[in-house]
Amino acid sequence: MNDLTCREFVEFLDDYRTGAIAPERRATFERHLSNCRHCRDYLRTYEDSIRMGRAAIGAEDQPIPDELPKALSSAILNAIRFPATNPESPTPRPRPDAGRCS
Amino acid sequence: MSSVPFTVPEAALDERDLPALRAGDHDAFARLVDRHGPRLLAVVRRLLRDEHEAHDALQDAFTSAHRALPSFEGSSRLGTWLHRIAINAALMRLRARRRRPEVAIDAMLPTFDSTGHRVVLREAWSESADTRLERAETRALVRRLIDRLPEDHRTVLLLRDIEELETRETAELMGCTGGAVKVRLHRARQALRQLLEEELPR
Repeated sequence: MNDLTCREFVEFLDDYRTGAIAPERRATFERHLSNCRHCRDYLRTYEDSIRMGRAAIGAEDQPIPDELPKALSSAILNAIRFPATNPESPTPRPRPDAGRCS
Repeated sequence: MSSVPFTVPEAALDERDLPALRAGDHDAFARLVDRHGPRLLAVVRRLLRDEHEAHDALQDAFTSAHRALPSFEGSSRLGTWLHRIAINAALMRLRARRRRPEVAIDAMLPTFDSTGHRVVLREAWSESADTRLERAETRALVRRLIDRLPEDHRTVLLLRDIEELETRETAELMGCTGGAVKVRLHRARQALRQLLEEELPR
């Protein structure tokens, strides 16, 4: 019996690969996977995409600088020493009206 | 890879300086900026992709950290604490930005027919991710594709997959539910996968 569609497989794919689905449901996913080459390819390339994103962003092409630009570290230390010159500096707290999740 | 973990000597230096930092010692704070600034600059650069805004965000972050240090409880590492503050400062600037026109994420997701099976079946790429990643042009392509994601999806992808924040922390920083973070992360990865399928050489 193959009672899972590709749409369902793809929708819950991350739960499947991180072990976040119930064991009895897991068997359904494995059955679908063994019968569906496209979903096998999809799972493999989904995981590849995560690895490629991680590697590309963390690659040596985008290194962590050895030190801060002098002007920046001076600006930071000045803002600390003379807070009166920087009264508008915001306290970074999420604003309820600005949430991106809706 | 990620900006975490921190080296043991760095954490030990933080530990040593902590009493002075809590007491508002400027030299200790300058050392803190030297130790953590470069790594945090890389974090806010990734999120903001604008050098000027990244500098402003880093200054915001250290200013808030300085204010909050006397009440820093020490339950997490100072480096981890600063990492969250820097991300928060960058997110505030992202939110304040005028949004650029962007393609809806739905256009980057797989499509299915009415029975729930895949409609468009392209040939999946066969060459391994590791082999491809050895080439600088592939890594540059991956970065360009991540930049094509809608901003909110790109942000979740960076926070979860690159900065390695937990779902709960990401939700707190973005002001939404853990469920929304999970859905958004999955869609962001699917969209990146789709874009890679279209753009990677066979």
